[in-house]
Order: sequence, then C-alpha cells, then structure tokens
Amino acid sequence: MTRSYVLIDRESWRPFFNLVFLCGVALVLSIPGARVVRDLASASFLSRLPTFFCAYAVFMGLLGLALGTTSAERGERGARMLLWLTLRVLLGQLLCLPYLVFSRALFPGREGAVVLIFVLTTLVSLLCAMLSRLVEQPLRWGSSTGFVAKYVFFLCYYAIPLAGMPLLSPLGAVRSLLDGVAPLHALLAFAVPTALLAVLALLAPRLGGEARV
Amino acid sequence: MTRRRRRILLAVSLALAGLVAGHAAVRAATTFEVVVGLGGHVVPGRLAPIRLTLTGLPGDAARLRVLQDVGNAWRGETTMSFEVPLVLSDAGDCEEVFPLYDVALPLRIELLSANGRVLAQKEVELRSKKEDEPFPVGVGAFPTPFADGSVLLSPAELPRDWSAYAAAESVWIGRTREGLDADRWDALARWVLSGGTLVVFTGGDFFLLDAPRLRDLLPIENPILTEREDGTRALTGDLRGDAAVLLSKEGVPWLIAGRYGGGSVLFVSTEAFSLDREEFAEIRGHVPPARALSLVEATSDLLDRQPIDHPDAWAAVLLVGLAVIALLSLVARREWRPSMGLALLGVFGLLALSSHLYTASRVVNDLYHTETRVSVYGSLGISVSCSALFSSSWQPAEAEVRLDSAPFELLPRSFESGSCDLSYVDGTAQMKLAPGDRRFLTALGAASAVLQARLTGDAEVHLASRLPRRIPDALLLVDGEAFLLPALEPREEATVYLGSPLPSGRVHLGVEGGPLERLLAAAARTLPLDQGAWLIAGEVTEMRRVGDGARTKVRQVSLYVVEVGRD
Repeated sequence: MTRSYVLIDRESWRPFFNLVFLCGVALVLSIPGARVVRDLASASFLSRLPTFFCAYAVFMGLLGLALGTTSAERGERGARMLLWLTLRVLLGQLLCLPYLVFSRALFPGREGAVVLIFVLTTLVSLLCAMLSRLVEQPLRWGSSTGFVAKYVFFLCYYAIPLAGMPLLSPLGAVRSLLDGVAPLHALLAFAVPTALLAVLALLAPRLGGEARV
Repeated sequence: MTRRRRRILLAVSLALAGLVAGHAAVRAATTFEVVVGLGGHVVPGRLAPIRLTLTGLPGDAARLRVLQDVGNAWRGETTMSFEVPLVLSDAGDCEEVFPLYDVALPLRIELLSANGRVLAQKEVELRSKKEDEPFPVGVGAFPTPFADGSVLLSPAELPRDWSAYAAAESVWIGRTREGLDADRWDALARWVLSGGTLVVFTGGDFFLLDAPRLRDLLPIENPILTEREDGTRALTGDLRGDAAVLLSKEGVPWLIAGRYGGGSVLFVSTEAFSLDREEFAEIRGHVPPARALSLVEATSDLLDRQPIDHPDAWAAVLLVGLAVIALLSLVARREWRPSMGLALLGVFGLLALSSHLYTASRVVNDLYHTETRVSVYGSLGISVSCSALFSSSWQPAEAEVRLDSAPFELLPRSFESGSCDLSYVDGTAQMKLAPGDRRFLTALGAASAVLQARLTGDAEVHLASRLPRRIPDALLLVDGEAFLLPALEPREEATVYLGSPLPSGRVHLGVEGGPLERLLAAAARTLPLDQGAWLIAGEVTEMRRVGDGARTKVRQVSLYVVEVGRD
C-alpha cells in the first residue's frame, strides 16, 4: 500500500518531538550554572564541552534513522522518496533553528562553524535516513536484523573514528569545526557523509519493494 | 674571457669580500657589559634593574630582549620573554627593569635590530648574585659597614626607575661627592612613596646632596647648618607636621622620622663620618623595612566575584517548552496539510528571532579579566596594578594585557611545561590560557600627580583634578575619620565643605562591600591611611574586548590615594 507523501503528521511526529525535546535538554545543560567567576572554576564537566552541538549531531542522526524507517514503512521510493526525506531532514533543522540561534551566544565568534555544523548534520541525517531506508527493505532482511544493523552502523560511524581520526566522526567533526579546523581538514569531515550519500543516492531509484504496512 | 672582463670580475669580487669582511668586523666589535641587580645583587621573585654598557653599537640596534627560563623538569618549565625598545641614556648606557624569577638558569640578553634580527647576545649567570631577602643599600661613602649584608653603590650606579629598588630593604644616603641627579632623587622619592625607607645623613654633607626633591622628602623644613660645641655640624630646621624625633643628643634632635606617602624618611642631622659603629647600630634599630603594596590577593578575590555573562538557563527552559508545545499543538493530532508546514515555519522562525533578540546582550566570554590599579600621589605619583585573568573557554585562549611596565607573573608551585609562558613586547603582555587557567600579572608605573588636595581650613578641602574623566566616588580621611566627598569632575578645581564625618570605623566608597572598598582595604595594609589626611577616590568600569579569537570581559577597579597637604 502506498500513501501520499507527507512532511509530518500525527503518525510521524514522534521522531521530531524526540529531536526537539532532547536537543532542548542538551541546550539547557550546556548553559553554565554560574553567576560569578568563582562558580565557573568549579563548573560542571558539561559546561566545558560543546554539549549542545554534540547532542544536536547525535539526535539529527537518530532522526535520520527514524525517518528512513518511516519511509520504508510507507513504501516510499525513487527520487521522490529522496526529495521528501530531504524535506523532512530540513524540517528537523527548522525545529532546531531556535536552539542553534540560542547556542550562538555560547560560542560567540564561531557563527561560520555553526553554519558548517548545520550543513554537516543535514548530510549526516540524510545519510542515516537513506541507510535506514536501505536496511529496512522488507524483502532483504528481517525487521530485527535491520534494526540492529542500522544502529550498529550508527554507533560505529559516530564512535570508532574518535579513537583515531576524530574528523571522520560527526562528533569529532563538530568539535573540530568549533575549534576552527583548517579548511582542508574541514573538507575531510564532509567527505565521508557526502561520498556515502552519493553512493546511496545512486541506489535510491532501485530501492522500493512492498511496504510492510 | 677578455682581460677587461677579468678585471671587472676581480674588482667586484674584492668589493664584495670587503663588504662581507667589514660587516663581520662590525658585528664582531659589538659587545656589551651587563650589570644585573642592585650592585650586582638580586632577590629572586622581585624586580631587578639591568644596566647595559654598549660598545661598538651597530646603527640598526633598536631593541632589547631578555629571556628567562624558569622552573625545572619536576616543577614544569616556562619561558618569560621581555622585549623593549633600546633607549640609551646620555651616558650611553641602557637601563631597564625586569622581573627576576629564578637564579638556577642564566639570563639571556639579546640586542636586536628593528626587524628582530639578533645582533649580539650574552648570558648572565645569576647564582652568585642571589640574596635570599631584601638588603640595605648604601649610596656613597660610609666610615663603617652600617648593616649586615648591606650593598654599597656609587650614585652613578643608582637606578633611575623606582621599581628597580624592589630588592632594597632600605636605602642609606651617605657622603657623595656630587650628590644625586634629579632623576635618581625622583626614583627614590617614588620608591618611598610606595612604601620604601630612606635614611639620609646630612650635617656638613647636606649641601653636597641638596636638591628640591630631597627638601620635599625631609621631615624638616627650612634647614640650617649649625656647628656644635664639639665641632660636629648638624642640620636643623622646623619639624613637619607628622615628623617624630626618635633620638636626640644633648637636647638637639639627631634622628627624625617622617612619613612620605606609604614610606618613611629617616633624617640624621649629622654626616655619616661623624658617627661610630654603635651609633649606626642605634639608627638601624629605628629603620623599618620597606613595604611593597601587593594587590594580588585583593585582585584574586575580585576576579572570583566578577559577574559572568551568559543566557539564563530558565530562558532556555522556556524556549524548549514553547518549542515542544508548538510542535505538539500543530502536528500531534493532525493530518498533513501544506498550511501545517507554513505554520511550523512561522512559529519556529519566530522562536529563532526571539532567541536572537534575547541572547544578543548575553553572549558568553572566553576570558574574564579583573584589573586593579592603585595610584598613589604626593608631589609625584606611582601606580601599582595587578591583572588577574581566568579562562572560561573550553579551548586555549590567547590573551593580551596592556601594562605600565614589564610585569611580574605569579607562578604556581608546579605547572605544565609551557603553560605559563609569557611574552611582553612594548607594553603588551601576551599569553595563552588553557581552559580553567588563572594568571596574575603585577606591574609598577610612574605617573605625575594628576590629583591634588589641600586642607584649607578645619572644614574645607581644595581639590584639583587633571584627570580626563569623572571619578564618581570619593572621600577624605583625616586622622582616620572619613568624610564623603562629591564626584571629582574632570579637569576641575573645587573647594568642598567637609560636613559631618561618617560613623566611626566606617569607610564607605562606592557600593558597600564592593570592589572599591576591597581594594581600599588592600591598600590600607601598606599605606598608613589612618594617619594624616588622604583623599581617596575610585571608579569601577566594565567593558568587553574582542581580540584575535578571544572575547574578554574586563573589569577595571581604580583607586586614587592622594596625600593631602595642609595650609
């Protein structure tokens, strides 16, 4: 059964809600709970890290995984699927926009990095969505195997590069971009999701099969 | 190759060789002698004068750099670099004052060209010059060593910068052939103003020493030379208001102490060569050691209390709440319609705009900088400043601090190698702070007396300000009693009626318990503000500086302490 393409509705709002709520919590945690310098000296570990941006990168990836699953359930396919996944990822970004603007005050002078993080998380979220859509192909794998496979990929993609080449992980890339990494290194951060996304986009027209719902 | 060409080639080669040889000869001839410390003695952890006598100075010599490696493998190692323009005195020497941290490693002194090329360099060994404590300094000739561990200097060896006397416990002026020049008297006067102790032997030697600044320093006015029955000559005069006779001989004052700013001047009415060892010992018993005004503790406390800027967490909670409510109310129980997309765009766009407007004035800073400054004015002026920095950034932050002179940095007992490196170039100290780092820099400066006050009656004070800005908080202390004064207007003279004093024991300046009162308490530990009359004024300013990659919030707390004259 194929449904009409929708951006968000009563059946697909939860991933967006999770994104808005959890990124909001991260934003609140990233604000230093201090009034004077003395309080800062003993401030929490979280206030010394780009907590919000790391959480934002993680939850945008998770949003992508959820959007891919929904797309598979709805039997979306082809270039149109690609377009609507992109629109949904951009909707997620719109919902996070107030937080991004707010967090700018926590990282003054790094507006360029915030824009780059916005672009990077869009690519990563889209990549996760495409990958999720691929592994949730009902004709190829069972549902539980697909679920495990995509989250294992997600964990590996986010965690393993941190040990050796942090720039290849979205988390490491976010930190490096805020640190003011050199342009060539910044390109490396974008290269992995762009390349993987290009490969998956080529596969997109062949994705499809019967929807499970 | 023709003969003509060979000749040309040979001529050019010879000319080049001559140039190179000449250049090398000039370089080889550039030498300099260095004297570090007062008479070659230094106390680690204090400022020390460095005097260079240069010979064969190349024309492009423009700068002086002093490098000092501090610490060791266990404590951590750091490098302090100070670079200043090369300024030669009329005598052809160069005198600068730099902090001296450690004597374990030699001091490296480099002569640089304007573009930073090293023209000549020298290493100075410091171990043999080390003193553990400040020591008495004698100037000129004395019949006998006047104190244990004293160091004798000729007048020409005396520094011309008051901060160079940091290693002196007291300065004793004996017999000098030609007295001291005005610069050296001013340097000594400024040092006494800051808390130093000066002992001056006069008698028949007074007219060798006599200078306007000396007369300003002495605790007597209208000095007259008299001869006693035993043939010794003594200088007598009218005691100044706060002068105290400490010792007398046959009813004639022999040792008189007077206060000059934060320090003391001890006046001996006879020449040094008329005294024996016992009499010197008697004088020594009345000489208080010099005190240095330290603002580090107060500045550290004020830095701790410096308010920080950041968006309020409750504002973030409100934003999250509004975003969640908007999302739920717009989509949770609705079918998709394009108008829903427009509504989301409108609502979240509005929330983003609100975020922007709210956070515009609540941007966090990378560095917090509290700068305290106490300016003490008599007929001359000095300033003592302390800059405390804290890095709240989560990544290393570059800091720049403008200072009056080469700063002394308070180093922790142990540090990571390189973490306390400091580079001072032309009045600006540059350093890098790791997240959570604190740094303290102190600097001393000289100033002209831009604030003056004079009691013109029992209840009136005449104030004269040459400061370019208004000083909002001021009070007058007369023998420990405090009188509130109106703000000091820029470049204005005014006579103010004193009114009633504040309740006993209360000294109110600015916000109660605020930065000015804390700084005043620190100054009062060195300056005798409970004796005599003092004008105290102060201001607190806050500003933001955005440098190359670091956003700094600066709070300046300035206190002016003016010794008040009486008509």
